[in-house]
Amino acid sequence: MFSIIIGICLAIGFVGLYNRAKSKNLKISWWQWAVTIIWLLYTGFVLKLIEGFIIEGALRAALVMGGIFGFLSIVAAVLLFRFVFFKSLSHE
Amino acid sequence: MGIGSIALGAGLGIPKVLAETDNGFLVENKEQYGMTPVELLSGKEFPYQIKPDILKNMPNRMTVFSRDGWDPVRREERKKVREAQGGRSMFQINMIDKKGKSPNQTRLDYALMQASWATAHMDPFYNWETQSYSIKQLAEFGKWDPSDNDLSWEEASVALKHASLFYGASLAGIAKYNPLWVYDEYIHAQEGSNRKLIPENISNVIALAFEEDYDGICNSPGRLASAATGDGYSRMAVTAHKVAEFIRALGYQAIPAGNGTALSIPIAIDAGLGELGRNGLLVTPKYGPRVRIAKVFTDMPLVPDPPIRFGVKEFCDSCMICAKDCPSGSISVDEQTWEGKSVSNSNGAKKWYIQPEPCNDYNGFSCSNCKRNCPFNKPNNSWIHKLIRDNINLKSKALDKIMVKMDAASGYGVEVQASEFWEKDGKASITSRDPQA
Repeated sequence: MFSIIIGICLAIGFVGLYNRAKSKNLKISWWQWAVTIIWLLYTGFVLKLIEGFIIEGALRAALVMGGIFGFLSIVAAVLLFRFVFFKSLSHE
Repeated sequence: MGIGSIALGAGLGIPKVLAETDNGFLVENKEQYGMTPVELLSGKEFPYQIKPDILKNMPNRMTVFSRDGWDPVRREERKKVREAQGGRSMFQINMIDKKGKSPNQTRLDYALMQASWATAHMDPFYNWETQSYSIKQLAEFGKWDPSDNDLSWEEASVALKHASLFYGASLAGIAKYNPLWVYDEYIHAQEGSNRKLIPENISNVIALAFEEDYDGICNSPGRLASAATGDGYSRMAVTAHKVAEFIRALGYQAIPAGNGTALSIPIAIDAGLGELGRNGLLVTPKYGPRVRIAKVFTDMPLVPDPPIRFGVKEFCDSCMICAKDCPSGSISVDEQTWEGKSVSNSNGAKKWYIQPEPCNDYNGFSCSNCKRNCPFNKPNNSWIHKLIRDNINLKSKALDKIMVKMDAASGYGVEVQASEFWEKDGKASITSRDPQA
């Protein structure tokens, strides 16, 4: 069930970004879209990782691994929005 | 549609697929390896090296357990251990002196431990002949030919492994019989002894591995680890007996054995159940070293399984957790050697030799720290651990070191208190009972 929710959220996230880019006439190149998709998939992986450890009962592992990998996802998100979507917005 | 398909793809697991023959018979249980990619070695290649001029049949009397009974050196060492404990056994200290209230050594913990050994050493489980009239009745039909059931010997071998799992084994494999692994007393007649010898017509050995309770082992060196061990021994006896009776019912000879008769670990390695770890134990793809081993010798003309390799040796080169955390210092921190330091070592194989004397003297049967700490020992019911095992197979030293650090940072390998064990769902702690594992 949680997997389906993650999948739906990621799908909505991607569609939301796409619609925003379209409505704002943002020029985002193919490789920037590729990086965005990779980031979305990685974020989904991190959420599944946390879920997996929690199901197993390894709460410390969920915290530590979720923290390390989740931190990387947040950093990647900041970089992505700063240099892809935000940078593209400033060029309107 | 796009959203739906992405959502479905993320949410649904890939179903398991088992191979089948033309007549619909189950050929192989691919779950044997827990979805870990393993390298199947050819029949002439093994994941170990031996020197035939050094490696000889090990005498059973030279095992540390046997030496405790007759060796004056071991008797003196055991006496010193008892003296260090004020002349009291651990049982007396925990149950009488501490009134059964010491954490991880309470009466409840002792009861679980003692009862777990209930069927470990009972007759007739390891008898060499059947005592069952119904088995003898079936055996009178002569040696079974698989072609009577439209099966090949390959399919019959799978059927035998299927029966072994049905009877309670967690893993089953078949090895060609190698007399070198048999204890000397069962190969060469000893003066003054009327012990039976392994017959010359024995051709194969079925190796059976039994997963030990993960939560119990995590309590090591508490009593619950011994309970997990004892439960493993009890299941070994019952299942090996049933497998032997199954083979006898088909008209063939079967000699079941637990720890005795022969060295279990090399037989299990030959049968493709795993590799040898630094801790001196069999490390399996699905359960790591968290298994006990029984075997059944037979003259049934089975098809042996290939030995496997999946990165254990390379991982153990980097890991060292078991050696660093062994409370008795019994596990080697050095490179592999051809000989050990103890007279209870069977020299002639290139491996990490342990010192069984301090291991046996530390806390008796309760210590399974090397199993508890081993990063391979995780339950097999999580995709995360399966993914990590996939990476171990890459045999990258740098990646192995990272995974060891992450394993420790995640809190694995530490002693779990018995009080936590008693709050858990007992049914879930042996993953081999979970068909999804």
